[in-house]
Amino acid sequence: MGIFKVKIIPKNIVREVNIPGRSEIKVYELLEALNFVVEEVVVTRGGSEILTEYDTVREGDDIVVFLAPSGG
Amino acid sequence: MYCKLCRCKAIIRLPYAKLSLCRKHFNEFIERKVLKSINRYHMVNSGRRVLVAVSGGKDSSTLLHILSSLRSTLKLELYGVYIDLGLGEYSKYSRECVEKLFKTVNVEYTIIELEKGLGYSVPKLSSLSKRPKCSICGLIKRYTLNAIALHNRIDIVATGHTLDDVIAYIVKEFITGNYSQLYKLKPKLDAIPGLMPSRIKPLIEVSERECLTYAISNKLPVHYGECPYSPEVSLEMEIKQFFNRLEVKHPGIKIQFLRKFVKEYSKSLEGSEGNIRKCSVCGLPSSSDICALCKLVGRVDGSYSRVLDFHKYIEGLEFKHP
Ligand SMILES: [Zn+2]
Ligand SMILES: [Zn+2]
Repeated sequence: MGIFKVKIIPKNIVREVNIPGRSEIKVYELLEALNFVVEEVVVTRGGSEILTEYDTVREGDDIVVFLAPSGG
Repeated sequence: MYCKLCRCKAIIRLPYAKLSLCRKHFNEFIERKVLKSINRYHMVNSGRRVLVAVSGGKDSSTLLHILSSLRSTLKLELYGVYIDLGLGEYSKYSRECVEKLFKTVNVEYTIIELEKGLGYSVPKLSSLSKRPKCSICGLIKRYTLNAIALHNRIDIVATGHTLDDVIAYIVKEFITGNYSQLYKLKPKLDAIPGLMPSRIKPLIEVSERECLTYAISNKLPVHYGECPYSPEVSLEMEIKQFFNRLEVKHPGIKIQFLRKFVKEYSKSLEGSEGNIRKCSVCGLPSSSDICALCKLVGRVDGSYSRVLDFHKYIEGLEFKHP
């Protein structure tokens, strides 16, 4: 219970966020756990649905976090 | 969370504008914002033939999509270019995305293949000259855009530099004491007739997050991968991270910083471009007798002939309908 799988683009890695006892959480809680701030990401579900930080995600959702800063 | 304008489901919250917006109203908001920047900074006063440099990434793809939606309002003649820098699979996939985008927005375009035109890819030229890939890449892009503009009567070159890019460069140039380069960060650099087109940054007030949201919500064909040569850590990325954290606590601080820079500081930068003249070898703009690309190739090859061939290659290219 409480495991949220997140794909991070462009790193192309999958991270698991473990929040025991919770089957759904707010996007901002997910970002906090991943140590991202809202201003540097766009979060999608199921490929095309863009979520705000106040939307709710559930265990098993297909969640992708796109990182906005590019270049170097 | 609902759109403040229509009560549909919001896709983004913009605390600096005190707005939550749905897909439709977000698109309209960003397109209007770009139009305002173009007017605010007088970006299209010097002509209507605009060349857009598209890399396949989210920012320049968003730029082309927005300019194509504004072209009748602004009476622009739009042209696109993709420069294949020879970065293997990365360049190959980026090119596929860009060609799809040119078709989607129906913009005439041309493709520059560096290895074909100059005989070197960016990594090759970097290893031969022992100069960093990113600096070679920047030099090649500037040179190529100037050359295309010169041969096609292009008035304006538009690039996809965002609010975050420009802020990061401003701070970086201050930190490294590179004050003489700050003038390049103005929203618009004036043309030098017969020598150099005007250069504009229409996304200068749009954040990278807004560009990314725009690209995803419009399903633009974008390469979301990282350049294989982008460094693991860089000063620019750390500055961006710092400002993004500041923005969360102080909404609007990024745009305020940029506007202060433009209003208060960039006036004092008038004329700091130096004395731009024609390169005595290839005829393109240069701040000294011989331009940076001629110097580089001259040093690697012991001759300038590759630059002259590259120049002929660019001269021979045509814009094609998608
Ligand atoms: Zn709406
Ligand atoms: Zn030259």
